[in-house]
Amino acid sequence: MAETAAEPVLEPREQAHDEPASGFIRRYIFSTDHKIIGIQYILTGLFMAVVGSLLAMLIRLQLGWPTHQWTLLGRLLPTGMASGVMTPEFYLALVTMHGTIMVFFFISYVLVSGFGNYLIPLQIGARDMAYPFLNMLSYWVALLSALVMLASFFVTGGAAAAGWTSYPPLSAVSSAVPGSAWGQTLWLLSMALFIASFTMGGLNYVATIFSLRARGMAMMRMTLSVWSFFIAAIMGLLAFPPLTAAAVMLLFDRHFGTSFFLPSGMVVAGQLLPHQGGSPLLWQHLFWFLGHPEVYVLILPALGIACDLLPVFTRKPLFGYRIQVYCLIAVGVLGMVVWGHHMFVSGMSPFSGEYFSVATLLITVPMAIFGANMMASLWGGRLQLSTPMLFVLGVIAFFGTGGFGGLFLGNATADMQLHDTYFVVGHFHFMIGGVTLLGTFAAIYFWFPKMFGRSMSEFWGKVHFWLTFIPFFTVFFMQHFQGLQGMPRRYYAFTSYEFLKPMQGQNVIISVAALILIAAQLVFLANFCWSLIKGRRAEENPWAATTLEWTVASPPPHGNFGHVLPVVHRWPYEYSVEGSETDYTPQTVSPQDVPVTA
Amino acid sequence: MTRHSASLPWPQVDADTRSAQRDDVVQLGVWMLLATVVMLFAAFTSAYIVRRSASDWTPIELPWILWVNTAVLVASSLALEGGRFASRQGKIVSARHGLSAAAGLGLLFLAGQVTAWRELAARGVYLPTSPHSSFVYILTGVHGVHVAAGLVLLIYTAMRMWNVSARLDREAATARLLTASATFWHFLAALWFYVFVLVTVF
Amino acid sequence: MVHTRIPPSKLPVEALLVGFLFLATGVFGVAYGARRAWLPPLASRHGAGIDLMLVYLLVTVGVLFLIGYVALGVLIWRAARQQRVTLRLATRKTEWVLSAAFGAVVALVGEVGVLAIGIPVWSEYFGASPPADAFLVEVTGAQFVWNVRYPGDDGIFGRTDPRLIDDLSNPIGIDRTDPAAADDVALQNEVAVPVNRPVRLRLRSKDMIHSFFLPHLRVKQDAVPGMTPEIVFVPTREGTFEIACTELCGLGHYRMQGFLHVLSEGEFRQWLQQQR
Repeated sequence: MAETAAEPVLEPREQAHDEPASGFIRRYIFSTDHKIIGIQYILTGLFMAVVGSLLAMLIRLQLGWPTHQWTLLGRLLPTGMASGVMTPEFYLALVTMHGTIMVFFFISYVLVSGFGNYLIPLQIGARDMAYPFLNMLSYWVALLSALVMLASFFVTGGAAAAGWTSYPPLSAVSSAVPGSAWGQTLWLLSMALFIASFTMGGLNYVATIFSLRARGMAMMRMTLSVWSFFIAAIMGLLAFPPLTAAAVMLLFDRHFGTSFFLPSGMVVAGQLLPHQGGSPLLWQHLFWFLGHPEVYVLILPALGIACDLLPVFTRKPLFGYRIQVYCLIAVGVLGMVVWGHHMFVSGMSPFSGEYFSVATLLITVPMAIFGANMMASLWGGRLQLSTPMLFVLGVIAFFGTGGFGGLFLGNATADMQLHDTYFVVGHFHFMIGGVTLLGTFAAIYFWFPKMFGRSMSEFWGKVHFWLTFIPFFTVFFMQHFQGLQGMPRRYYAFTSYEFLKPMQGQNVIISVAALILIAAQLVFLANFCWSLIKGRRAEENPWAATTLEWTVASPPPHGNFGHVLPVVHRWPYEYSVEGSETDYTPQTVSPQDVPVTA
Repeated sequence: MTRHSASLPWPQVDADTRSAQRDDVVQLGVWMLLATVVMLFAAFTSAYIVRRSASDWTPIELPWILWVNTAVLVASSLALEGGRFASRQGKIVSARHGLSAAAGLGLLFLAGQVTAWRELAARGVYLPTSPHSSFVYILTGVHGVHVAAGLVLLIYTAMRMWNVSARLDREAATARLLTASATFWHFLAALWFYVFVLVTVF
Repeated sequence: MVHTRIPPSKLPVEALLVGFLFLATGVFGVAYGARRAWLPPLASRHGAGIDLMLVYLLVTVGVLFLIGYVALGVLIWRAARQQRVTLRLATRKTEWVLSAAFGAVVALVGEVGVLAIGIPVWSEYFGASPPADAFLVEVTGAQFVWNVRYPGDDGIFGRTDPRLIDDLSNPIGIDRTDPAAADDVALQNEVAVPVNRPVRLRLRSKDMIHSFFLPHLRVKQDAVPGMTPEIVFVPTREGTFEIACTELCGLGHYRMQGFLHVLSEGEFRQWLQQQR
């Protein structure tokens, strides 16, 4: 196998990389550099996370102490909490916006758009994305989308209040709940912008990974992070448009009198509505056609990143790399055809219910294999309990826990009892709030030195981990059992029912743990901000890792790789190779210097 | 146990190859974009089919101008192809004419669509009048929005062709833009066929 | 070989602590879960099948959960104390065998077991045609009340017309000119049914999507405007059971409390008489 030594690859000007921009605005604000765009997404997402967390705090205050008067909050939020007691309509807006913001404007922005943009070109050996201008546009549309969503809090009637799922007729009739006045319209417009932004990003991801890989960077030499962004982008590109269609139809039902989702004979607030022949179930099908792949769009990158960090902190290759890739692909495909498991008791045909049960249960197989391989990667390694690694271990733990809950919900029989109860809330928080959140933190702690040239504090990182892991587990594990007891979700209070009264003690424990969880994020924010300014300077490769981003400066220069693009000779997990001087061998090291093991 | 991967042959990259690679990357993006538009209209179609099966479906009569608009859009695509053909032959003046004609006909199409709407409104057929009318307005409207976007792209391409310089890479970029715009434009014509057939026949 | 600048956990304490904390999480989780029976006391026939599924999953998942966390804890503790990598790259065969084995275990528990228990229950609940002697009752969900209607001795629900709806006097718009409506009995938030007889419940909605949930009877079905889904269940225990709404329907969603009274035949007939 005679590969010549790295010849200088001629500058492909057509890779759409131009001269570095001059001026602060072109370099750091309206930049087409994928690294800047990635950081912009991350910072925006972290801001939205703060908003989403405050909403969660208010939710748990209400559920833990429903009769308490919060005077200070009453002064800060005169419309929602006049005289310190929350109104039910405000509660519903909180629940709706918490879900919407966390899913779309925190995790998607930070993990999928932020780290996707930052890492893909670096890890495949490209100078930038395939369409840098479109990439920049995607961020500014994304920011606009977030601003529109935030603005919806301040319109008449307040923010949307029909749940992040926005089921009509509740979301379609403005008199049904105050948030369905203007708040819901802004929600829909914001989502339309979000989808446009995501599409621009998704096109970039797929085209870049297909076309701009460096010499020697075969698909099977890509990191699992890049694989996961690739599959997530394809899923998103195909799954989002039906939600656009649904959003258009819902906007028309709301404002122009159409009846896509509204049947005849509805009487709301004493008024007989003129609609005819629409189907509320149509919305559910279209929404969940996006909604379910969306959760895989979020979780796949977290899993991919966790898999990439495992070798760094065990100093040995990942177990079953190829199998992990196949599992991701299997989940990508299966994830597109199981949306009906959100609709088992919706009035959908029971035959469809049986199909969706079987298909959903099939997904557990690749996912279980994936999790098992992650654990198997620990065997025989030299484990280093750094902060990113703790979060990776947390990812593994929460992936298993949440995944098991999926077995209950994925089969139509058990779901009959558990649908729309706190069991669902517990389950999806483990997956989205647990796996993706911990994966996001792992990514931030790990790549912070590369992005900003400084390191975050390891000590406070570990404090942050435990103060997050334990309360998080407490809150959402207990909620599974609340669901088994029959506690419905989206309830402003549980005081109206005898069978729910004994659970008030559990709600208090959960709220206390939740408040600790939220407060603990201040440790992270403080660490993040302080390290940006005063963190210890990071070198090129502080973690002694093998992937391409660690072969360049921290932070990398514009164009990433200097005059010559890298040539790749091996897969990304060359740790502890026999015959090597160091226990890590970057992907660019020639086979003549160190043997290639895969 | 060591495993060796196959060596990966890599051709020497010259300027033409790089340009062709960029052509491919841009076209890949265009085709993926088309895939998302297909999914959008697939969703509308599934909504249409579901609604169609109900007993209260009464199709409205569609304005005859839609047939004219169809012809106009086809003519526009033909003009565009004529322009592309000319540009490949180096006949830049003919190419510009073809592009302008395509853009003009595209604008005419949009005007025709608006006229169709106005005729429906004059007959008292609005968005909420019947399920069929709702879909007709929405499908033609969403298609029209995409045509407007395609039109902007065509006009921008036409303007670029007016400023074609002797620099090879600049010309290649314009040629690429032309191919991308044409792909999108022809797709919109095909999509119009689909929408038209759906709302008239089915 | 030069090792990385980040040494493995030199302190056995750290390795032990971290490993232990993960392990403890699993143990606490299982201990919490196994503490008591969580399901509301059962009061329906098909509910036994649902409970069987839930208990089956709780046990199997509980075991896998515990094994998983213990394994994680032990793996962490071991690997964090190692000075060198002891198993660098498993063979392709090992990778495939382990993956297949674990996949098979999960497939067995999650597919075979679940489907074996679940399909009969689902088919019984939805597939079987309602028995001829089923007891008919209709519930129409509205913001924020359950409108109940009995078809009366003729067993036929009278016509309803939304134009006749008056929220106070005629909340579901019963057309009293229809002869079949003459013996219909309408009330709110209270349903009574005789014990041990199949109940055929017809669900409707006046406005939003609501969901009729009887936690003790393991009954849940969305009430969708424009549709009339029907469900059949058999109450097996006398008593009063709460009805909750489990589909977000507006600001009163949390207080749509209804009551299902399961009575003996005699008591039921008395009750119905009183409602006329």
